Amino acid sequence: MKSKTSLFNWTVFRKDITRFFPVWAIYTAIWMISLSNLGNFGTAFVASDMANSIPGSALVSAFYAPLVCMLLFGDMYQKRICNGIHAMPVSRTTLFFSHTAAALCFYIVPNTLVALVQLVYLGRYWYISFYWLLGTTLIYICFLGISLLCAFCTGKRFAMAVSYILVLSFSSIVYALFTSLYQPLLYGIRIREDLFAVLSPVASLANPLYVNVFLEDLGSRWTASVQIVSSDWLIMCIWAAVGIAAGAAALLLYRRRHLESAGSLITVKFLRPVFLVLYVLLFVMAFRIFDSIPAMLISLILGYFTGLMLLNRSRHVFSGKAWAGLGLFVGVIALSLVLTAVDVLGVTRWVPKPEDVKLVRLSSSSYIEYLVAEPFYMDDEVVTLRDPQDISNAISLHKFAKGDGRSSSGKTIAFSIEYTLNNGDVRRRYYDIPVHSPEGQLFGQYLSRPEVLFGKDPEGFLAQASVTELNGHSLTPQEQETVKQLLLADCEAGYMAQDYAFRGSSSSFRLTLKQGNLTVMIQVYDLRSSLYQWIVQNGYSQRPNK
Amino acid sequence: MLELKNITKKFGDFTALQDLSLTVPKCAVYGLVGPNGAGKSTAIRCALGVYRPDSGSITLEGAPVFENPAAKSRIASIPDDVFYFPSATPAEMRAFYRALYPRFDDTLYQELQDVFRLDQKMQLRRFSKGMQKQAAFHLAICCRPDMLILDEPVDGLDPVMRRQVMSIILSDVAERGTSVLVSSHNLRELEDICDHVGIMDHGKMLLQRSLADMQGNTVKLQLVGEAPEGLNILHQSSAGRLQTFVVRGTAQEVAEKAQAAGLSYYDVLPLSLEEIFIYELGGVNYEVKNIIV
Repeated sequence: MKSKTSLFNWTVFRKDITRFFPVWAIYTAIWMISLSNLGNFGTAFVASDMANSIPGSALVSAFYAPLVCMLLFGDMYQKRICNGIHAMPVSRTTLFFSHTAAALCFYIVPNTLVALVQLVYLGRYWYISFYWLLGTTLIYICFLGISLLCAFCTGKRFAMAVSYILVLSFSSIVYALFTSLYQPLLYGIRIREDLFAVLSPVASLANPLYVNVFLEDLGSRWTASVQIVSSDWLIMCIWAAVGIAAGAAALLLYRRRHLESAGSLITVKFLRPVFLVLYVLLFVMAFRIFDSIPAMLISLILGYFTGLMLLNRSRHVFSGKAWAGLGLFVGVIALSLVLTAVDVLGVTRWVPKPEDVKLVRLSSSSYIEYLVAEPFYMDDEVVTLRDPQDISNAISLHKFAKGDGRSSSGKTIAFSIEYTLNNGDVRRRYYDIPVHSPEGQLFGQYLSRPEVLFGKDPEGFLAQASVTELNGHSLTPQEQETVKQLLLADCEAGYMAQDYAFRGSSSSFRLTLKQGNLTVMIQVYDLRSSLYQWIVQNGYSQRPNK
Repeated sequence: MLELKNITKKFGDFTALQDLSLTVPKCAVYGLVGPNGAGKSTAIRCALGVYRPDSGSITLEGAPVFENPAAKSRIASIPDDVFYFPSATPAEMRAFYRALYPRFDDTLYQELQDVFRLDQKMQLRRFSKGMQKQAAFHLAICCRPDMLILDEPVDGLDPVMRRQVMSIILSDVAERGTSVLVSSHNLRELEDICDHVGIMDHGKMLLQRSLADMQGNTVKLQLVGEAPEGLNILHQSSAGRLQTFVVRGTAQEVAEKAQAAGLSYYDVLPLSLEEIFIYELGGVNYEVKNIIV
């Protein structure tokens, strides 16, 4: 007499909806209030606002989904209710799906209502409402799935909230760990934050556009052109899939869960060490402010034992086994640090052979970006070197930076060097070198190249560009031609590197060139440059009186 | 018939139940007795399909109970700490039970309102502990279960309500053939209603028998003079010339031996449940005082 598997129980679902109606009612009311003045705006603006609110909903869902989950699955955390519910003739699978259906309704039903109301204001942009509903729902599914997983890994509401925050900020924690512990030992290698940000659902979902609405003023009215950004939707779908996978994992955990774990911090045995490690690392991170090895060791010991106390709900945790665990923990960290420091994998020692390199991209991290108007220089502040001699020079620069350049004193310039190898691998390193060293000057010459300042076709750009301003002065067409020629010559000579590090204490003059929508602003600062001398000689070194 | 076979349940390093076997026959009232911490509540939670045993099986009429809504719909329970939704009223809980238990009897619910005089619109959390227990009885009985599982059921009930509740349960057993598993740490409470008794300690079943068997196999012999030979004496005491022996054997066997010994005075008396446990478990390292208080 085994019952048929039922995935849904209407009674449980209805109970959830009625029991927690204030939550979804308030959520709906907030939306309705915020929509109440939409009629004052044109349809194009409503479309724009709605499209912009899709990524914004990630922040709402990041808060609302765990709240809903905590309410609906909160019965798991109290022994009395947990035992009572599970003694009733409803299977865990049925309970899970019924609660989850309610959790989805808590969000989807109000949002559907909102989408329907907005149809009135959207006019011919009605389809934005559909995208909005779809987008916000997918985002919610992601956060709900993660919330469910956290709910079934823990046995307390507080622990659920903490674990949820830990999961959402996991990438930041790991990034902070790597940058604080391992980064100092990895000379030349920079741990990229963007790689970790990909692992953060909030960062990944709250930043893309999804639906891009361009507003245009037609005089009497505004119109909007709508672009669906499919790559952003792909990211959203991936995260929704992650949410579904997390939900499936939560169901598996629920089915295997020992209900007596209600009230425990972590309910899954194999997650206890994971929690302990994360907790200790957070503790150590928090104590980094003291910036000393004894403080770090003390914080590690404190973190370890307080973590054990939380897990065991007991103060009696100072057993031999616990000390052995601490020893193992410290040992593993110390070993990993030692292995990193001695560079067992040869990562920091690595310098390529010239014949293995296809191209090199050099870039300065202190480039005067603010002087350059977008979009012209969005990704062009890089020198790309393909010539074998240039590649050889770049490798010399790399070797110098790792060797003598590392110990040199004086003013330095930070740069990155990115190799694209013949086998397709791309490797990037970051170093500082003295500005006044021969290698520093060589780097300056590369940064001064015309293609770095003016793009792939500098001659073409300069031929069509006009000099709109030189240190506040307007120039005659003839002067403009002279300036452009001098500028090109100075670039070739290596006097135009747009980097703070190369600027001396002498005055600098701003030169603005414009071609169509593109604007380039350049600082002329090198006394050796012909243009600098021309400016001084022609009386443009003083700004005009207004 | 509810059957727990070789159940072991551990909480971390602590073994709450160890190879526990228990059978509640159909139409029987089974009393599960033991001191605090013996494992009664754990056994009951396993029987209800709440806890998953580490090993062993739990079946109702041959069907597994754990994660089996069909089997669970035939079991109603009253836990030691009754559960209601926060802010729920008896009427709301009734609606919830009615939707979950297919055999829920609305007519019976109406009838029993004369016994359990509870305000149906008042929040249960505002009720006293005893009234909450009454509401739990009210709901559980109306589920029309084949198996009623009660954990310390009469805690908090006044003596009149205790009798009424027990009377309702026993009439349900008699009329519908309901089986009852009832746990208590108080033997006297169970003596009047149970026909089977199991005694637990430290997660193990020490003894499990029908009450008739127990009372038929052990008797109290009071006499003046020397005890006859061949008696299996479990306990001996004296008051003046009158000696009292607790003897294993049927009343007839013991009386025959006493008569054959030519005693001037003897009397064979039945033992109370409390006395049986004291003498049966006298050899076990067991705190008897905990179950006869």
